[in-house]
Amino acid sequence: MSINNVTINAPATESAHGPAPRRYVRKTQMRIVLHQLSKNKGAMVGLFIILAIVLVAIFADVLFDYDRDVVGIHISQKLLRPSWAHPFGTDDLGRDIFIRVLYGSRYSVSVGVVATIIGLGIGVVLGAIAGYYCGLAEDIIMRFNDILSAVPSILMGIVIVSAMGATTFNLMLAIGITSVPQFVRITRASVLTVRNQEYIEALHAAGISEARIIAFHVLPNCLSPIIVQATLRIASAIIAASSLSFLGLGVPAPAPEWGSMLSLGRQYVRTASYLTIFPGLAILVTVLAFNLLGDGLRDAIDPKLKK
Amino acid sequence: METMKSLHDPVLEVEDLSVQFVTEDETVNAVNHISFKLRKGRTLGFVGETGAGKTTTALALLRLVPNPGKVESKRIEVCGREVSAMTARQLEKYRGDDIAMIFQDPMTALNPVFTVGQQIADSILLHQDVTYGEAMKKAEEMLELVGIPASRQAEYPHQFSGGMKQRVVIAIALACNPEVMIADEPTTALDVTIQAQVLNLMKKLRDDRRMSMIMITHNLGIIADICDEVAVMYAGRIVETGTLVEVFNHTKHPYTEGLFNSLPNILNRTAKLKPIPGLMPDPSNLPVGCAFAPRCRYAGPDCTCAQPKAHWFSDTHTVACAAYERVGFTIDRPEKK
Amino acid sequence: MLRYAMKRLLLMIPVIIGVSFLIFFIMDLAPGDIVDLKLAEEGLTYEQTEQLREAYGLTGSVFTRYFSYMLNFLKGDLGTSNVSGRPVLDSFLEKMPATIVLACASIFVSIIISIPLGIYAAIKRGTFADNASMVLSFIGLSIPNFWLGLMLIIVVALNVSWLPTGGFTKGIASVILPAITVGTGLTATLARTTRSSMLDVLSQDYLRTERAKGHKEFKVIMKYALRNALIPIITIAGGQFAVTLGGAVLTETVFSWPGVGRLIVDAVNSRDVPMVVGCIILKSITIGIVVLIVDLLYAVIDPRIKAQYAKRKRKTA
Repeated sequence: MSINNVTINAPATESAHGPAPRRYVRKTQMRIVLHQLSKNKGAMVGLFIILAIVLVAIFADVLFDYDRDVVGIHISQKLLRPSWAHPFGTDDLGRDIFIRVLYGSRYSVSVGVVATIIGLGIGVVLGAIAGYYCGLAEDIIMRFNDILSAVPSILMGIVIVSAMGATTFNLMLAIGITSVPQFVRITRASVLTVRNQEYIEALHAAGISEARIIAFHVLPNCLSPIIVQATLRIASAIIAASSLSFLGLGVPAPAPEWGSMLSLGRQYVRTASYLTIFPGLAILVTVLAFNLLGDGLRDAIDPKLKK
Repeated sequence: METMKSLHDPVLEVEDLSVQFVTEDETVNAVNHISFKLRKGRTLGFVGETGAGKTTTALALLRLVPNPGKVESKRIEVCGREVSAMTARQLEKYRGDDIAMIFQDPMTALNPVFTVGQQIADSILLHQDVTYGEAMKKAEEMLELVGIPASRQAEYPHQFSGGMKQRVVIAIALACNPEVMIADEPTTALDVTIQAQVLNLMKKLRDDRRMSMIMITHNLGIIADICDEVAVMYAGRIVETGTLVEVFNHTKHPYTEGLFNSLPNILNRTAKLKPIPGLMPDPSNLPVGCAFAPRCRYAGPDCTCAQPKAHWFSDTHTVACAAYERVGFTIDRPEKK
Repeated sequence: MLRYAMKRLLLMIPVIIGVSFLIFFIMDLAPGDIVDLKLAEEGLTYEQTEQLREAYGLTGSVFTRYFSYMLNFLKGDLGTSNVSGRPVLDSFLEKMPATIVLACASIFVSIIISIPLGIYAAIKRGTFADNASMVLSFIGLSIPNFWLGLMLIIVVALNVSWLPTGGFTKGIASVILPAITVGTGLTATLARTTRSSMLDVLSQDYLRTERAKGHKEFKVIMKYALRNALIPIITIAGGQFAVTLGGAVLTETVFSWPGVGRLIVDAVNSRDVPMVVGCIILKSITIGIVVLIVDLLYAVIDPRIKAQYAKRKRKTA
């Protein structure tokens, strides 16, 4: 019965995944997803905010002179309340908070994205191996995953950054590593379901190599949950980055990272609350945007999940 | 004399019932202006394809049509009371006590986190003035009645097979001895051998308790086995209704004929099956005229301009088909004695 | 069931060994140790530093040091702090009550808000109330909680005199702000989980059966639907509770809360390796046990899961 099924299904499914028709299928799928996404108001707002932030981050150097506007000290103008000249006020060294917040988008967005890419890269490879090959490899990877996820990620981040030194790259690395377990789990779970589909069995029967099957037939069909997870992960990576910087374990001073600006503002909570209000709002808006987009993507990619 | 009267009084009377599902994109006309009666102790069968509106009709009787469904009717009277005028309180009393429903899929109809005993006793506690202990005892009796050892009352649905679950569903429906029982494809999800067991059980319980029953199915065999009267539904309308003999042996509607022709005949296996061509029309976009006309081989220009009127062939046998306006029209299916 | 729990506890042992080695190893990567810090402060001679290293157990390779550490660990000795000289376990237990109080208070706050909110949003799906509560929960999800803490201090504590802005000295009053801070993210997550889980259950056929029996709609939802929707809800709630028990590092920092999170951060900053490793091991054990308890709770709620546990027991037996 099952042999029968395979032979019946194989030509149909194989052609759907063969080179030429596959592109066609994917394109339509993508169009459906984009169409669904464009109907989701929240996701569109999120996307718009993200684009704006990315633009600001890219052109920050053009708009401002780093040495003068961002880190330059102007003691005469210290701790000014928000005004037309300084919309968000100035800090204890007379630096303009508005400019620093805009410039800070560079750190938050790049740390969020790079950290997620690191976590995704390691996590997907390990997860795919664990999901596809049972036995020893899976056991080792999953046990390692258990160990990594047994420590709360913020503690893990603190330990890694403080051991390796507070630099921007170490911050990315630390946050990336703490997000590995989730990617491993998600990739493994979807690889497991795809692996047991009959068309994979059919590919084996057709004598196609394992590596090829994983790379061209298994992983592409597991992409949706991974993409969704990655988008949501950027949001939490941004929070994690600012948290570590807040503790003094992130982007080193005097760079205008939002978390470290908050840490500075904390000393002036009673007298100059605007030092804490605006960098925090920036984090909130950025994270919110990624969360909205990620959630919209999930609904668009998997309508079953939309309840 | 008094008992005779109550025997012929309908326990359930529906007049001009319609159900629509209105969403932003479309309006689905699931049930359109149907009327029917059910007399005490009798069984009425609803037969038709999937999507003909049978289940929606049943849910409307319990006022359980899910959102965004809108129910309209001149009259839905059960045991002499108007259902559409009931308050929430009265409805709670009415459901389960006066009317009960056996749902299609026993696999999903039982709550997975309560024991079957609890689920039966629940209904009894709700409608009868008994203690928890008494209700549990009654639940055990109900289980025995449907052929499950009372000792299994403490088990959960996942520990039962499909047929056993359907028996539990029946026990829940019968727990409070309702006047009317609606069975919505009670055997569709079951194996053939189990189907026969469950049907026999339902027949026996119906006869013992002199209940009235509505049997919803797409299986003509079940109708023949269990029903006294038949209503054939197509695209949300009743196209033919009559006693079992009238509909089966003196078939008048082309759609009913089509249903019979789709059945394989064991006596003549070389005969070709004659399926009805085409598909049922989209219920969100029904034609102005007879909904069956596009698939009907007798259809003429008279069929597509207006809804067909009802033709009475006896006190009980009506057919909604415009072809009978033509003089001397008959369908091909021969009448049986 | 008991067997299952025992098995799970045994499975925690290799994880704990792995965690301790991982942390030990990472801490070893750090340039400079406690002696270097002292060297900078006090200006010690070379001989003195070597003696100190010996005393702190900082000589030899990372493996030999780890091995002797674990040997002591098995004897129940988690070592002593390099900074204060006190046993690690004592410091940990001293800080634990504050952390437990904060974790319980925040989970309590978030459960009583999020579950009714999630249920309401699910029932009123698609209405303004649903959308509004989901937008709110999105914001709650996206707020960095240390910033929320700072905002609460600015807005509330500086205006309401009886609400302290830090420390755990004024009883219930001092828990309020930290609990809201930790609880906001929790509430948002839980409300969303409750909503989607309820929506899942609300479309199930068995609720129609319950309604057909004649149950009140309120009872159908609060008893028959909620019980089925609970599993994802307690999974998330349990996980978040565990994480909070693991140290709400930032909230504890913002509110100068004398909990374990800050203990660990301080230890990390002063390169107090025994303290860091010891505390993280103890944290991981705590979290592991909470997660296990949550898993066992499933069995109480859902008989199908209970049956699975029992089946596993038979397999192992």
